[in-house]
Amino acid sequence: MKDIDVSVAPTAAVHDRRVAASAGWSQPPDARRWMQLALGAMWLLDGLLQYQPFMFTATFGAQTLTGTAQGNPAPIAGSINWAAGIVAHHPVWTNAVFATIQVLLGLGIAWRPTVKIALAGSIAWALAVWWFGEGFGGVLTGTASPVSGAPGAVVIYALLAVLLWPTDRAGTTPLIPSWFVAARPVGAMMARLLWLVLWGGLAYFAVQPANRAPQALHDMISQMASGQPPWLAAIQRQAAELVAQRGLAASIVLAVVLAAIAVGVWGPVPAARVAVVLAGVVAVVIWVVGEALGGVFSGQGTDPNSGLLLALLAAAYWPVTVRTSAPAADIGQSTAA
Amino acid sequence: MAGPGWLADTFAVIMLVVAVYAASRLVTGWLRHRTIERDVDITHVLMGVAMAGMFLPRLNPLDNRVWIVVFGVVTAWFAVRSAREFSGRPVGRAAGHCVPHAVEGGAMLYMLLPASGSGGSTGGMTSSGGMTMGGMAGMAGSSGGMGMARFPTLTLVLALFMVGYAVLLADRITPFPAVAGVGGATVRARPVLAPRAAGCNKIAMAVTMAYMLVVML
Repeated sequence: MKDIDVSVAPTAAVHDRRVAASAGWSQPPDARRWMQLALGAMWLLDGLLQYQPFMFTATFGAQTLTGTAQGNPAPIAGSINWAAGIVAHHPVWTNAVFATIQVLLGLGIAWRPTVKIALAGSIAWALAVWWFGEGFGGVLTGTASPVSGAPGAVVIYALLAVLLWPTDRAGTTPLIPSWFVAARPVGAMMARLLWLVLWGGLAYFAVQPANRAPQALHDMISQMASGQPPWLAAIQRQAAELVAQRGLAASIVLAVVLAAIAVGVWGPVPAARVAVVLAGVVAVVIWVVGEALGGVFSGQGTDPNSGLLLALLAAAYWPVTVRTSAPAADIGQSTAA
Repeated sequence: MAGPGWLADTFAVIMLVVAVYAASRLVTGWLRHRTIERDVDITHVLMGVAMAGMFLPRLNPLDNRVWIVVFGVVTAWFAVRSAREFSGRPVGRAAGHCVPHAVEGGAMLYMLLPASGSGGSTGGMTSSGGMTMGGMAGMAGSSGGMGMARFPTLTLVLALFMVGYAVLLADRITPFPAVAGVGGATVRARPVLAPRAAGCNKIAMAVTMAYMLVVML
């Protein structure tokens, strides 16, 4: 993403609007809108994955959902088992509802008149799924790992919905140095705090005892390689061999990298950019190596998992410096979502 | 592992509605001399019927081999038009407008072509009453399920494309505005017939195709 030069000549602006109109847009998307569309696409994909035949079976509720209860405190595990029992006894209509909700969320975010209500609905839905569907991502079990999806992919949907909310908090304009998309609705300070909590939490999970074992990372990656396309399985096998018997060292390195990412956005623009790029790279590696693209090739994947979402989140924190010779009103118009 | 039969029925109905609406646009555009995307609407009629037949075999009017030829032509048509758009950049039309339709045609071909190891099957009914169409082992009522895709990675890429396309279409569903011309004069572009409904039709097509591809994974 390049620096923005808003000193746009009037004729160029007219041309851009004509091109946008011929492409079907009444107002071309800005960076935040593109990210909202990416989020909407992920929800839509989740809904379609939820329509897979396996999800309509009792096994989905009896095994997949109840599995997330393990290791959680008793009250939480009990609530998860209760919900899983309902799904297991009524797999068809419950799953149809789940899938349809997610499809509607995706299309709702994509259609501008409903973006706010869809984002609000996605936050509520994401938090409910985080509880009953993911067992809070395993963060209370001591076994959560950033490589396998901690803190739970669905809570990142909620975080993105907040950070991509189509409003601008007073004082958050592109004229502020190191401005970034995620700062627009909540302010730069709050956005950075949320980033710190997320990536700092991932660094913490990386060095938990269960993840420091010599073969922990190797076993986690190897397990995901089963049933994948040959090219993906080869990548995962190579990665697993790389960390075999080196679980402690790999965990420490990962934790250091994640911690650097967590604090990097608080630094000057060059440091923030390095942190964001590093976050994007780590996210892609996690998505491919650790999560096997969310297990979508298995027929039982409900979503693409956290890696893709972390990459989108990183994009929302890309700091943009603005050189302008145009009045502030034009800047606001050019960056409206 | 099969999904519920009503799900296939629902998608089949949606595809028939898409086909009927596209056909109605062709008729209306001709009778009332309105601007339509004739090649796109013709394609949607064909795709709607073909995809309805994929979900419910009894609705399939043509042999698989005929569909393969049809969508081979469709794919080539839009591929050539896409190449011309990028090379010539015609006025009033964004380059790449035909690319999604070329991809849709290619995806239909991919789903119709026989899968390796299927014994050369080009279509027909399975013993359980489900349908087979080329590379797809069945959408409902059959023993289809995981790993039906001949090339899983390509299937995923096509599915992601369809999802992205659907989202972009939804973002664009607003009326065409007046475009300010040189010197402040207002120039209003002649609108396509019922652009919102056309957009919804395309979204339904893209989402359904994405679902079919996802189920093949």
